[in-house]
Amino acid sequence: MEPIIEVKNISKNYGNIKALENVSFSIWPGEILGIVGESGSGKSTLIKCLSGETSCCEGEIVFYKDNEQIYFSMLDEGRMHLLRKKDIKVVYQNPQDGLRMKFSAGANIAEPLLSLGSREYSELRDKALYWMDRLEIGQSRTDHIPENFSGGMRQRLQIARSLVSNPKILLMDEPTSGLDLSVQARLLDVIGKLVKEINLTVVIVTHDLGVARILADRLIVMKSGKIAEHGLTDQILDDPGHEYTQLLVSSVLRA
Amino acid sequence: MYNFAYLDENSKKMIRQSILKAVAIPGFQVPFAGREMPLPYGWGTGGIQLTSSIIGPDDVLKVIDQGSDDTTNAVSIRKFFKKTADIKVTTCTKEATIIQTRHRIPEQKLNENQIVVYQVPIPEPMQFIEPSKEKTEKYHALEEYGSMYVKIYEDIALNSEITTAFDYPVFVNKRYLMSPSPIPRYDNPKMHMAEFLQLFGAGREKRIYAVPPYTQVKSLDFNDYPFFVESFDKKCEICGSSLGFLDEIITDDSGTRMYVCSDSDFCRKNLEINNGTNN
Amino acid sequence: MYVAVKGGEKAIENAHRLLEESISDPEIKPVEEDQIKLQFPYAIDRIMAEGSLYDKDIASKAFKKAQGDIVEAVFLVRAFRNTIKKLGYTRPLDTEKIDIKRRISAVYKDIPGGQILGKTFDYTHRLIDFEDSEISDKKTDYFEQNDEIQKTFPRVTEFLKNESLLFTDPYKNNNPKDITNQSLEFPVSRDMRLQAAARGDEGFLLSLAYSYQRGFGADSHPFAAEIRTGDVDIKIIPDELGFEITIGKIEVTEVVMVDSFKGTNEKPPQFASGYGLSFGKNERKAMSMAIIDRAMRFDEFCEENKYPSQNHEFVISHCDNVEASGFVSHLKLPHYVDFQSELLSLKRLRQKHENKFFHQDTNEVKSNV
Repeated sequence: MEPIIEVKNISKNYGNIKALENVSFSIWPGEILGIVGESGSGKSTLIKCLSGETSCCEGEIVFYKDNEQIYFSMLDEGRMHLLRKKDIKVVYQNPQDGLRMKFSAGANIAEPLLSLGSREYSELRDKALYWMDRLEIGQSRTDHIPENFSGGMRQRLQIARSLVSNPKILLMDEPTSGLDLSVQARLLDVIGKLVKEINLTVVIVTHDLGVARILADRLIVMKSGKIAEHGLTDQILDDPGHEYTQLLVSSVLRA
Repeated sequence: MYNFAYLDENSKKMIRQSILKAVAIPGFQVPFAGREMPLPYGWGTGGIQLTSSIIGPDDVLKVIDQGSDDTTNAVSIRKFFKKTADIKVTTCTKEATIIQTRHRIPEQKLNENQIVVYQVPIPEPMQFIEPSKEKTEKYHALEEYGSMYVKIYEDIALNSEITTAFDYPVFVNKRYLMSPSPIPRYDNPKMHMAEFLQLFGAGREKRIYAVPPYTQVKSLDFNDYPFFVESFDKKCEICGSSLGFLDEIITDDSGTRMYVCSDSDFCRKNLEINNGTNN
Repeated sequence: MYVAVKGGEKAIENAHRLLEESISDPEIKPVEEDQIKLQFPYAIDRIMAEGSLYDKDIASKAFKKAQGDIVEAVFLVRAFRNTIKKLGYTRPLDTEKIDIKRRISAVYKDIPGGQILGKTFDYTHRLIDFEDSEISDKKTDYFEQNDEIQKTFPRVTEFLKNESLLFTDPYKNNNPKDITNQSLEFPVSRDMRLQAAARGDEGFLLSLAYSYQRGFGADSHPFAAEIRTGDVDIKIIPDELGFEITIGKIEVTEVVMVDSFKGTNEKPPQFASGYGLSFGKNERKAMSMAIIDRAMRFDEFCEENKYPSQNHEFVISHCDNVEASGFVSHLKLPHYVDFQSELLSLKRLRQKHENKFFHQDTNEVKSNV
C-alpha cells in the first residue's frame, strides 16, 4: 500500500530558530495520526508545512493522489492553492481563523463548493443542510451565523466546511483546545464516527494525551523540532521508550 | 498654455499603454500612475484621463451623468474638453465617437465606431468583502472568487434573490470578475457581446480596465436563480416610452411622483418620432 | 407639464461668480500674496508639503484662491504640479549641513551644538490677543553675539549608532521609486511609504500617531531623538557638467523618533527608529510621520501588525487628502439612478417581507413600521 503523504527529511528555520529538523514519516490512508508534544516542539510548524501554508527550507513532502506523485516543492502558488481548496484541508485551533463569522453556517459550508465552481443554489443548500445534520449542529441553525454559536458548534462547523469538498486528508490543529471536557468528548466522538464512515485520513496535532489516546491510531512525539518517538498510540502511551515521552506521559498522570 | 486635451504626450502614452494592456486582458485591472487633474478625485478623473488620451481633433464627444447631458458634472467635463481640445461636442448619441459616462449606458444601440468611457469610483468588485488590495489582487490571479459567490449565496438564503441593485458584478471573457461601474443592473446586458469598445477608468484608485467588442460579459448568478433586470410599470411623462430606465421625480410637497427617461437624448429622440407620427 | 431641468451650465457659472463676489468688499482691502507669505508661514508650509511642491509663491496664490481652505489649496498645487516639466532629481539632501533655525533633542539634556529653541509656539500661553500687537522693527538674534554659528550639526542618532544601540536599516536603497510616476502596489516598500506620508494629510497622520502612542501599536514610550529645522542646499548633477552644483536652498524639518526594541533570539536589544521630513517648519507633521514610519516597520522588529497605525495598506491608501476629499465629497454628485435602482430593489424585498409575515399569521398583518 502507498502512503497518502510522505514527509522526507524536512527542516524549517525561522531565522536562527530550528522549528523543524530532519523530520521524516509517512501518513497512511484512512488512519488517524496524532502529533503530540509541548508548545515549541514544532507541531504547528509541521501542520503548516503539511498543508502547504509554509514551504520547507529543506526536504520534500510528497502527496500521493490517484496514482500521481505531487511534490510540494515543485508546485507553484496557483496549484498549491488548488490542492488546498480541494484535497488538503485544515481545521484551525481557533474556529474564527477557519470560518466567516458574519456569514451564515450554510454559506460557510457552501463556500468551498462555490470556490470549486458549483453554481446550483438548491444543490448547495441541500449539501449545507446535510452537513449541519451530520456534524450534529442542527439544520435549523443553517441560516444562523457562527458568531452566535458555542465553541464546540463553531468547531463542528469548521469541520463541516472542511469536509464538504471531499478532501483526501484533514489536518487538525488543537481542535479541542478551549472546549469543556464534555464538549470535547462530543467533538471527538463525531470525528471518530465520521472518519470511519467516509474513510478519511486525519492528522491531529494536540498537546492533550487524552485526546490522542481516544482518537489516534498512531502517534508521533515531537520535541524541539525533532521526532522523539513514534509508534502505535497504546504502545507509546503505555510503554514510552524515549525519556522525553516518559516525562510527557508521567506528567499527565501526576496531574 | 496646455497641451491638446490637457495631458502632456508622455502621460497620454503611458495611459494608452495601460489601455492596450487592459484590452488584451479583458476585465483585468491594470494599475497606472494616475495624476491629479483639475477636477477632484471621485468626480471623473479616471474617465477624463482616458478620454484625454484617446481623443483626437476629429472626434465628437458626448458626456453624460445619470444618463443626462445636462447634469452639472457632465456639463463641467464637456466644458473642460471643449476648452482644452476644442473638439466638436454633442448631446446626440448617434453622432458621438466617444461617450464619457457616469452611472449609465445609453439606451440606443451603439456601433463599432464608438467608444464608451466609464467613470469608475471603486474598480474592485470585491472591495466591500475584502478591502485589502493585496488580498484581492491575489484572488484575481488565482481566479479565487469564492467570497463573491458566498455573498450572493447569502443574499438568496436571506432574501430569495440577489439584492445587488447597481454595480452588479460581472464575469468577463470567462476569466475575470469585474465591476461594471455603478450602472443599474438594468444596463448590464448591454455590455455582453457589445459592438463598441468599453473602457473603464478609476482615477483615484489608479486602475484602468477594458472590455473589447464582442466579449462575453455574464452577470453573476446561479443556474437556478438567474440574473434579472428591473422592470418599470410606468411610462415616461415626456415621451411616453416604457422602454428605458426611468428617473423618479417628486413634484410637490405631498409627494406626488412622476417618471421621466433617464437617458435625455433617448427621450428627445422619442419625442421627435412621436411628433413626426402625429404630424 | 414637466419640463426637464436644464441650465446646469448657467448654474455653475453663477456659483463660481458668487464665490468670488462673496469675499469682495469695497471697504476691505484684498489680502496680498506677500502678506500671506510673511504672516501665514505655517499655512504656506503645509500647502507646500502636502501639495508636494516647494514654491511659496504658488502656495500663497493657492491659499488665496482657495479662500483659506487648506485642503482645497493643496489640490490646486497638486494640479499645478502636474503641468510643470520635471527636469530630474536632486541629490539626496544633506541635512547635517544646515543653516539651523531650531534643533532640539528630548533624549539628552545637552548635545554638541546645543539645544536651540528657535521659533516656536511651544511654551506660549495660548491666549487670544484682543488688542493689536505693535509691529516692531527690532529683530531677535537666533544666537548670542559671541557664539560661533555652526554650519554642520551631527545627528544625535549617530551617538546611538556608535554605541551599536541603534537598529540600522540593513536595506540600503540607492534607487528609491518615485511615487508620482508609479502605481502603488502592495506590499509597499519603505521608500514609497515615506513619500506617501510626506505628502499625506497632517490631520490623518497626527491622529494615527496619537493612536500609536496611546498603545494602539506602541509597546513603549517613543522618544524624540532629534528635531531640526533649517535651510539645506539643493544640489544637482547636470549632464553637461558632470559634477555637483548647488542651485538653491529650501527649509525643511527633520525628525527622528526612537523607541526600545527588546530584542529577539537573533536581534539584540536596541533602539528602533522612525523618520519624518517635511517642507518648512511643520514639526507636528514631521513628528507624526516619524511615529507612523516606526509603526509601519513592525516587520523589521518582529512585532505583530495589529492596529491601523501599523497597517501599510490602511495608512498609505488613505493618507492623501486630495484623494480622500475627492471621494468623500463626490457623494454630492447626483446618484439618483443608483438610488432609483436601490429603491426598486428595496421595494421588492419589502413586499416579500410583508408577504411572509402575512402568511405566517393570518389574523394579523405584522409590520415593522
